[in-house]
Amino acid sequence: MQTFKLMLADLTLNKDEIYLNLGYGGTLPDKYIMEMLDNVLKRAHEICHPQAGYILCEGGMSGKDKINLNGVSMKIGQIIGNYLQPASLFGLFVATAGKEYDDYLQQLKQSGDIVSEFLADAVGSEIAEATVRYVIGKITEEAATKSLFSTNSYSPGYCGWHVSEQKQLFSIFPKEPCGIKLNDSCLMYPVKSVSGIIGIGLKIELKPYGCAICGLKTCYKLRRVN
Amino acid sequence: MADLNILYESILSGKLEPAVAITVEAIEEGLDPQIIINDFMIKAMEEIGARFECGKAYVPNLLMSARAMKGSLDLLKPLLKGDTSSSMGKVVIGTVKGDLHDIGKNIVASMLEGCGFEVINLGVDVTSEQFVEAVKVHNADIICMSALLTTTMIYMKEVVEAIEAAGLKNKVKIMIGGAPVSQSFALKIGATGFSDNANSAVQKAKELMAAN
Repeated sequence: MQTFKLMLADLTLNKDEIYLNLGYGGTLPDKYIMEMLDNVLKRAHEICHPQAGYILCEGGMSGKDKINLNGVSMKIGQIIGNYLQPASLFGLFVATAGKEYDDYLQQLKQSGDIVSEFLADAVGSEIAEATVRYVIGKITEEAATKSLFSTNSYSPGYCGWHVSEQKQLFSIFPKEPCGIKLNDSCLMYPVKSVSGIIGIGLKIELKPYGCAICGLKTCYKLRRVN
Repeated sequence: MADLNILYESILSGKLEPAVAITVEAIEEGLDPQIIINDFMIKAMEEIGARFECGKAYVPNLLMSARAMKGSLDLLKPLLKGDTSSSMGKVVIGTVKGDLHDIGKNIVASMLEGCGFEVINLGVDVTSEQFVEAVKVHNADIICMSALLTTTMIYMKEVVEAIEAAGLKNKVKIMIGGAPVSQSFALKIGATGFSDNANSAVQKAKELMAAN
């Protein structure tokens, strides 16, 4: 497994995403909230050690909604299956804001400062997403060296890929990849972590991605701008 | 003389220190705590709630107002001892078993506290037994359950059933919240109420208490 131990400075955080996570759709927080947010970001730069890793597997689809990789069968659902169908190689990845950031969130929670806790939670989500972008960049680079193209990334819990399948996904990785553990409900510790898959192949066409293809009406990403 | 309009403005704009300072001044001057709370503090929370509902305020604003409100309430509550109106009601809140999502539930807890409810926060990954036990131990009026996943929201039904089995269904109101849940889901599992944001959660909790 190719792994990366990072500093926050290695990542590109998208502040607009943080504002969206905080519920600001199309507007900016006021000066006071901005200052608090800057303090959270400053602290994050001091303590946060994101990690990411990926492995490349050969394999392929089995029917419309299952994929077989390294002898492991995962039911990824038809939406994702359709997008991964043309791929011949698959990048499986994990990305995490890291344990230190989880500890920071816990400290804020214990302190009772709910405003800072909320801001730090939103920042943590964006750190995890930025770490995903970093590792996808690495996978895409490796694919390019083979003159191959990459799909978008897809994660358990979205687009019809049930979160319980995360157990299968993690069975392909070494134990506790990048320090990430699964609980009985197949949720990840540290909580600000993401796992997923990316398809690689010759005849890959990058498709539009986002809420439009998923159709998960109950997703928090749909609610956060409402 | 303590200017209670400044207290109102401080809570509305989420400024803890001036809210506390004016409250201390008002207490020293012997002003009626119930009037301070009802005519100024609750009014400020109602206003920030109204602004939130029409998109003129955001969750951080709600939380800052709740923090300022709580800072003042903590000073006034001891003066209301023995008065039944000193607490809006007692709430047990938690994210259901299997789910680790914390922040939405904590926001609701904070808003409820800011609006005068006594809140017992059980944390995340809370079992039906823990909910039942907490209701018994704390003599709670309301249970608030949270879940962020479609896979974990189904556990809410188990909690409702456990409450029924413990003979508490007529004693405690059950509220649910979180991205995947809805009013229809609440009705389906036998919950009393549903809310999709922290402000409406407080309103719903007040409604349920008023209906008692």
